[in-house]
Amino acid sequence: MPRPSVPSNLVRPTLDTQFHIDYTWWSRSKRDLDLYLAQHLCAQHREELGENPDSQTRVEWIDPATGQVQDVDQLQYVLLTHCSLQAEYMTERTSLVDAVFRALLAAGNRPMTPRELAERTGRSADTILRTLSGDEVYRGLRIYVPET
Amino acid sequence: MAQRNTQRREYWVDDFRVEQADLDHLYNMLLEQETPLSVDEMALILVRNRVEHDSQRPSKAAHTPENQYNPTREYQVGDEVAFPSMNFSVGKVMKTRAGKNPDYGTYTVLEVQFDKGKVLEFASGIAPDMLGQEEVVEEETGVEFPELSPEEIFIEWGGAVSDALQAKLDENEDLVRLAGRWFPKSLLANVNSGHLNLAEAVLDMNGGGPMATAEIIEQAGMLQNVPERLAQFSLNYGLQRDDRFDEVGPAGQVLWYLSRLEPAEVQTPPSRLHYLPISSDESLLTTELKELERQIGDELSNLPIPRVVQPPQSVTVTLIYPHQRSGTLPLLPQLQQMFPTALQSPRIRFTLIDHDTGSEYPAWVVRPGGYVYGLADYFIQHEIPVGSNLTIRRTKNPSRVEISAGLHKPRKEWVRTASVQNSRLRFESAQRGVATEFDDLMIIEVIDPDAIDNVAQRVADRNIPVEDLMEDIMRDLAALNPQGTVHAKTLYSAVNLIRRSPPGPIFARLVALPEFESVGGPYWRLKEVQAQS
Repeated sequence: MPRPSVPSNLVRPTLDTQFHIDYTWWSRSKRDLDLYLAQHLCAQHREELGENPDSQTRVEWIDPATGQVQDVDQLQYVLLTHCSLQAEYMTERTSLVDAVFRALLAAGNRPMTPRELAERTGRSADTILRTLSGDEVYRGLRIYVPET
Repeated sequence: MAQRNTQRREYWVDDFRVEQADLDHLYNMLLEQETPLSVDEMALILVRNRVEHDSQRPSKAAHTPENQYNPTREYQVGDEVAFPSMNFSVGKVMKTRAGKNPDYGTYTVLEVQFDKGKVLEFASGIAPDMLGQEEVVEEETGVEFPELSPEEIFIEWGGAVSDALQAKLDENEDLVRLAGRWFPKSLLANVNSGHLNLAEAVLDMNGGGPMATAEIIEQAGMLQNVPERLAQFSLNYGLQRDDRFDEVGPAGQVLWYLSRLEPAEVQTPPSRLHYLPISSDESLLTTELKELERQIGDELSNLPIPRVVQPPQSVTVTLIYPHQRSGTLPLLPQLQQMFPTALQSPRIRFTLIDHDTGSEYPAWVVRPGGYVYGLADYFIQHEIPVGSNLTIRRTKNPSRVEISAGLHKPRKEWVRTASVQNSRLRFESAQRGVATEFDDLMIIEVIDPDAIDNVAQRVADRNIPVEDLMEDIMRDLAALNPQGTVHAKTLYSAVNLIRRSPPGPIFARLVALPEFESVGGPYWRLKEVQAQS
């Protein structure tokens, strides 16, 4: 019989704890994910897609790291295949929460530890850990609990 | 067949890092068992868990370079493919269809089914320039390795796992360590001030202790709905954080005592043991005097600590006055192996058993003060004189230690007696009945301890130099034998009647000062005595 997983509030997150974007948090909190995603578009696509990007059309995206095929909306697709590859996608002026979000977004939401996120964002792993492990959930960034 | 990762030394020693999944598993075990665990127990659990998970993964033998997934290759329905991104989980291709995104050119999408029915889609037949994927290089050694069990792995490399885990546990503020065992603070039973007050009352009714945690819980009738081990650990945590309680158990046992009911001499060293450091140049000591100092084994001597492979079964010490008067024994390095030790407690309560009568005496190892307290009644009952040889023996129970003075029917012996006349220490030789084994160079019968203590107090108050005391004492002692000489050991024992000193400063003064003269071996005399004779 599989062992029940530990409630996450009993586990103190560490620098080796994986975090991801919890999209269910966005739907539960009734926040506009598309609006937020649009903020991460590059200037070219912001102009092309406008303020109301098409979130209905699904596009096949192949994760270059794993070869896995996922259906994403058009907005996510351009973020993954173009905007996230631009130099201005992650700069010193990008806020810490946005930087972590963008790093996860660019990796197809593959769960990452604060150490890995620090490498991709240029921020301190400790600061990332403190920010993500507080009581408040920012932009749906939460501890990743693998399926059992 | 390729060797699994968990069968390799590098996995456990060079590359090993405690992961969150390990901690999750250990938390689960602590939660389920409700039993605090030692770091080694947790390390073994971790090893077992990692090995179990590793064995559930398809072994590297199950995937070869031919069946390892590569998005540029073509696959057919029914093919079994190992996916590097999923720890080489093997999935079966159930369906194929044409890719729908022209940005990637022409490609096929595989519908792959894994264990437990999980279905994922993967690209295949894609042009190599469409994806910047790194190639996974396969290792195939072709060498057969005998498979080690988790227990064998733990024996081989568990030390590295325990060290890494220990460091991780130390970082974790939610884990509490008591008596070498760990448990999450957030899972402890609630122990409040009411519980602690009850514990104090129970200990008070039992003479202050020592009491095991289980006894306290039982007598107080508290934490009844909490599993036994968890209740004990939780109460231990509460008691440890409260100054009213002192943990006095030897290693492996948790015993509690009320601090306010501990003997004063356990809290503060007895005054007669106080040593006001005496400066001296001990490089002056001859080889013979150095050897004599080593033989005496005063706890204040700066002697090299013997390298002990196995704790000795027995150790003999010769009693000097400060310890006889204080009811203590010196905690010599050899004796430290003999008396119970504790992982954290500075004071350890144990039982001293009289080898000759079987009587038991409550006693304490006071590690900060470097002495063992609780022998006053034993010394009084057997009239143990200064200079007696006391043998301390281990028993099978580490909290019970046996003591013997080699008691026999009193025999008439010529011994030195010390008394106070006109506020000065005086020595005579007299026949006395002695019932112990003793060192005839150090034996001294003290006629009136209170009077001796008064002299000692005056010596301390007036800060009389130790060389003046030596000269005065030597003059008296020299008169007790026809040669007018005094053995260095005798002088050491006599000086300690009124001033605590290790042998080094006394011996160095014998060598350095012109009023003392060596007459061969360890015997010394006063130069003026020679002049008078």
